[in-house]
Amino acid sequence: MQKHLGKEFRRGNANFRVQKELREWLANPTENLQVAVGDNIRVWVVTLTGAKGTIFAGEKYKLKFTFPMDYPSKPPSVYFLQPPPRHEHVYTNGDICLNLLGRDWRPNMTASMLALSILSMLSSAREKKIPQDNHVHADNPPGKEQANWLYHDDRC
Amino acid sequence: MAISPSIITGSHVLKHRHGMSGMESSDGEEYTYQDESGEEDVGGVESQEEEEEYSYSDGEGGCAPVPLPPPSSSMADGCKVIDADELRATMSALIDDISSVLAIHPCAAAALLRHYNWNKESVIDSFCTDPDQAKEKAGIMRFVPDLQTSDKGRLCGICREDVPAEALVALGCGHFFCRGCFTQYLVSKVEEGMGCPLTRCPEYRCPEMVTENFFRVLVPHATLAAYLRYSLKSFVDICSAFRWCPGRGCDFVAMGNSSLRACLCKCGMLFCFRCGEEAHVPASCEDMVTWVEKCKNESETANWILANTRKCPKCATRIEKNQGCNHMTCRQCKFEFCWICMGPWTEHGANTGGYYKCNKYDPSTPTKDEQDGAKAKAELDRYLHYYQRYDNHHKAQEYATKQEEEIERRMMRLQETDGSRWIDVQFLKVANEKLVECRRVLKYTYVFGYYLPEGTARKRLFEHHQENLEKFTEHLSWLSEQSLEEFKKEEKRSEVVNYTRVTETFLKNLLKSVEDGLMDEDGEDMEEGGWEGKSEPGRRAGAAGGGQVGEAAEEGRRTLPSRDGAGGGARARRSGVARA
Ligand SMILES: [Zn+2]
Ligand SMILES: [Zn+2]
Ligand SMILES: [Zn+2]
Ligand SMILES: [Zn+2]
Ligand SMILES: [Zn+2]
Ligand SMILES: [Zn+2]
Repeated sequence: MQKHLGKEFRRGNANFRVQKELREWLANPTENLQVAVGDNIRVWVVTLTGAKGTIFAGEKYKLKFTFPMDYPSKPPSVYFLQPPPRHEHVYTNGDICLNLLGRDWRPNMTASMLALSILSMLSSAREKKIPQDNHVHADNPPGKEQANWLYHDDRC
Repeated sequence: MAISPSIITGSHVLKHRHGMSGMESSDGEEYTYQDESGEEDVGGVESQEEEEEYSYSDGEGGCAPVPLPPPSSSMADGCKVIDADELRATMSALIDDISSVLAIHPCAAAALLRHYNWNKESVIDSFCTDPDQAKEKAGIMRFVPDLQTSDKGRLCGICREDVPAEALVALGCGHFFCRGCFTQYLVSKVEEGMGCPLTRCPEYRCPEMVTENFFRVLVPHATLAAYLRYSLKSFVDICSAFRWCPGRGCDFVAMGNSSLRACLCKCGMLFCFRCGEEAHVPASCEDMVTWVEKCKNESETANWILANTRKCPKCATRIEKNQGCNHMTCRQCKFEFCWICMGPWTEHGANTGGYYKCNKYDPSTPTKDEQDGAKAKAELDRYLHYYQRYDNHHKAQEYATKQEEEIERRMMRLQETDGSRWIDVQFLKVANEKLVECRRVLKYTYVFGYYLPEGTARKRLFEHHQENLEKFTEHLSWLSEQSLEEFKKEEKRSEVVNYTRVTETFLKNLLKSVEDGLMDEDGEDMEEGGWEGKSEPGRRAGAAGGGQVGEAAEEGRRTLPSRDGAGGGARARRSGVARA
């Protein structure tokens, strides 16, 4: 982790912004979200722990974040590694139906905002069930650009 | 997904009344030319004939060859073709109109128009009913025409750095970002493409639209040009009154309405305004969608079968088809055969009395590896039958289209060899244009035919027309590919001219018949009895107007200006171009 934080990146480079976010994340740790970064600073694995008092309480899931070269003009690719939680907006291939990951992404949003949105999406669920249209999407590789997605609802 | 043709075609035929507007040629057309020889004539003894004007004109036919030279503003029955500049002017006029009616900045007017799908009435209605709601929806609630500047330094939400006041910019909403970050965001939006005219403020959830002025001020020149192109493109895509010409590399746009079936672009492309594909009469737009989908699904199988080379049926030498005609002659053994069915050519021509079977799918023909009850296989065979012919005409159409330059060269050489004038050798060009057109229509007859139920009188009538057109098209193709040596003979030229005309007649007959719902001439639906098709081709061919080659050619010959009447050899040469 330190090797990533020590490097110098130019402003306007995707790594510059990702490094900033990583610093901010580590400076303000969240109980339910743990970040791990491997060799590539633009690939993160976030371990999400279901919040207390929700149907996912204590369960651990892993989110994979991949930041594109034109981040943050474009959103990062975010999906659940196997096995994903059973949630009506999470496909069994790991993809998440979330407008913020596609149509409604704006460059002043951050990875931690996305992770918090996903956590709150799990927290607000009443039952564990897969998306109605799971069968249409389940065989696709996860994490592709959500360019033409229709979202289940605006809030997810 | 395989679609059962019998289901699709159930109600298909009755609905199939194409508005053939733009695809008809007038009956009384003339292949004539302007007589320019008058200048050279000395001594005023001009005969009546010499004063006659022979001019090349197509009447008002939209499907006739592209007129030469192309008119400056080409119109094909109510369809106007415009270029990017005229289009931009049309778009600006609409924006300016809204801008002045609602007394708002043109950039704001453009945002409103974009939101309401370029529908002027809904913009005005919504704006007059509830201006705030309309502005909110269009993302111009806090619209200002120019970039805002900050009075103090702030954190830029994109690079997440503290930035001094002078480096910050914002839209009317006042969400400040540093100039570099804002610009990078806009450039990336343009790189994403089509959606860039609908770019909003970089701030999370802010609905403010980034209007054209901001792109103008912030992004580099090349990016701005791309933005303007996308902006124009989305305008055309959204407005139903416009349609891009599908021609390769063509930037023209047609203005019209969806009842138009054929629109002739300045680039020579004839396309369907309704679906934006190449004009596809007699097939309907719906047929085309199903057909294209089907072809996509079957393409691997079809490609496997339709290898581009074939073995001579007699000596097995591998032959590559490199000319437009289906009449093949093996270089090795001189065997003449048909490229489509691989049968001997002698069984094809009307002159041998043979029956031209090449356009018919006969399910009773046993295929070597066909298994009883293998319905899927039978369906695949049926499809391949149609696809193969469709594809064949498609390739022949492309070939004939590519021939245009070669034909100009041939025309030039022909002139050089025997002193003909440019106008005297036009028949080659006219014939080729007719070939391109016939190939195109024939191609789509196989789509139409595929969805036409088997065993009906309609289908028999249709195949009769198709067969005639195919026969004459093949012959015309073969005739016009003869050596230039042949074309030194006047009767050879006349033959091409006549075949061009007769072929055109068959083309018209086919399209007219489909337009009339494939009914008998008496207006009767020939579902039962009536016309026996196969059993009585002679009667039908004669009645349908010039079924016999000889007869038609004979008729054509009679219409030529006679040698005697034209007064001598020099004039006779010109009569290679026939007059009606
Ligand atoms: Zn910045
Ligand atoms: Zn804003
Ligand atoms: Zn064009
Ligand atoms: Zn169409
Ligand atoms: Zn041979
Ligand atoms: Zn044949």
